[in-house]
Amino acid sequence: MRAEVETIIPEERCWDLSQIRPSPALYVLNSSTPLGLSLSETLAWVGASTINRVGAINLSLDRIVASAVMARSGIKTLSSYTTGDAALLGGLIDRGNLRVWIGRGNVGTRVSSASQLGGGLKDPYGLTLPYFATVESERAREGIRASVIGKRAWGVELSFSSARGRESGAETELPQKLSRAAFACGDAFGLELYSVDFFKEGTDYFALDIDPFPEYGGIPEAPGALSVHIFETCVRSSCRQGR
Amino acid sequence: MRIRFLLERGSPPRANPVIEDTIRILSDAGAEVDISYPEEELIGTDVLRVEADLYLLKSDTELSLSLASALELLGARVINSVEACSLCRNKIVAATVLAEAGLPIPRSFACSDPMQLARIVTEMPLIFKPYRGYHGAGIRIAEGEFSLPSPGLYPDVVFAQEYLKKSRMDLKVFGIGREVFGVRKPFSADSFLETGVPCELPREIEDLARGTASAFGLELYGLDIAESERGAYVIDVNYFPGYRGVPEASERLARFILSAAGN
Repeated sequence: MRAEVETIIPEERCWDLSQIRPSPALYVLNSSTPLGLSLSETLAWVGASTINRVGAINLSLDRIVASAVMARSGIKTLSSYTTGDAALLGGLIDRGNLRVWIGRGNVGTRVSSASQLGGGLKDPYGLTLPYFATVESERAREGIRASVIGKRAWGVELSFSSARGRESGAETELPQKLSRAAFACGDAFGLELYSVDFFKEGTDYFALDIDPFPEYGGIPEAPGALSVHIFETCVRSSCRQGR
Repeated sequence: MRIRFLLERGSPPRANPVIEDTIRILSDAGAEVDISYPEEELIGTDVLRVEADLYLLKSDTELSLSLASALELLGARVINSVEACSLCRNKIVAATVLAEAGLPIPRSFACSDPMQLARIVTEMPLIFKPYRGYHGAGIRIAEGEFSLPSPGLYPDVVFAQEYLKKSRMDLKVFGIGREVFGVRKPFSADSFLETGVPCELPREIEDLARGTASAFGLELYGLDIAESERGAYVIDVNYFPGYRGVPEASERLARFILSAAGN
């Protein structure tokens, strides 16, 4: 059996929303643009099978939700906060390295003084955007990324430095407690393809964040395992759809 | 019984007398009611836990939606459900939900650049709306290729619908559970703050409202309706509206909330 594979760049065309119908047996969502996510949600609504499910992606990309879920994964997490009022974060600055995100921005900023927080941002309709803040560890230098494809997980070395940020390296053994924590996060959201980053401080690991668009770098087995997972999901989906 | 309202101050800050009265009635009935303005609090997300028997999401802010999502994942009962609210908030998805349920909506389009609608706009006038917008902000009308909005106006996604220019546009429909109410008020940028005039609803509109609620999974909702010569169209769906103009709205809301909370 062979798979017919095509790619869709949602931004390249205009979509008549009353005409959208799923055509392939399976969609693999690898776009985090607002149009890509919205289109995936509409496709799912009209019966398309997608991996990952777009609802799971939306939730896992939300740092506030992800923090609450990771805290229940059986492993330690960073102290994390949210508010719409910058002044309320001022009291956290003394506790160490504060990293702050505004809205759904991808890049957090290290904040060492209250003046860096500014007066807050509003959405185009005048409503306040949320701050999300974590108190980071100063001593974290290394960690592990748990990369998951379905029911299989691999470990990849992580290093942290102020100059280069977070970098992934070679495949490494994934401790069982990290594997369990990663699966707990993925299951809570309903993700199939994802990674969870952990950093190590002393003998303890802390869950850092979840990525629903993992690159699987450093894992030689990943391309094959990914193909098998997608193919098997596609076959199951075809059977369900009676194709 | 503990009930928590997740509210927003609005911009500019404003109070809704219907909600204030509802809270008073709930308290008089013995419920422990508290109010949260999440933007004004420092909330520990890693220690978040469910503290109320029922959460009422009456806020459009990103923070409130995120918080409600997290609480729901932790087991909280939230009205409306976060899924229903998220479906309403994204107009691209909302249009699909309505169409798939067989409910009447204007033809709807999504793209990344208004110029991708150059051919369509020669066939019908279009109304452009921010895909996650509300309260009528950021709306533009185009009646030809040369009046298409510039790409910068909608940087993330372009959402457009056929503009039903000859329709009557002043009908708002409000739902509280199975109950449905009509209010007429002329559309304007701040019409959501006005009371309007209650009106009888034809059976067709009542059915349309209940069908919409069912399709989205909404319990407390509002619809904007366009009445055209081709029939009625749903042009906007909102979760937990202000209910201004609905007769005895506070009493009805309080009854519904108490029932939902299991009293």
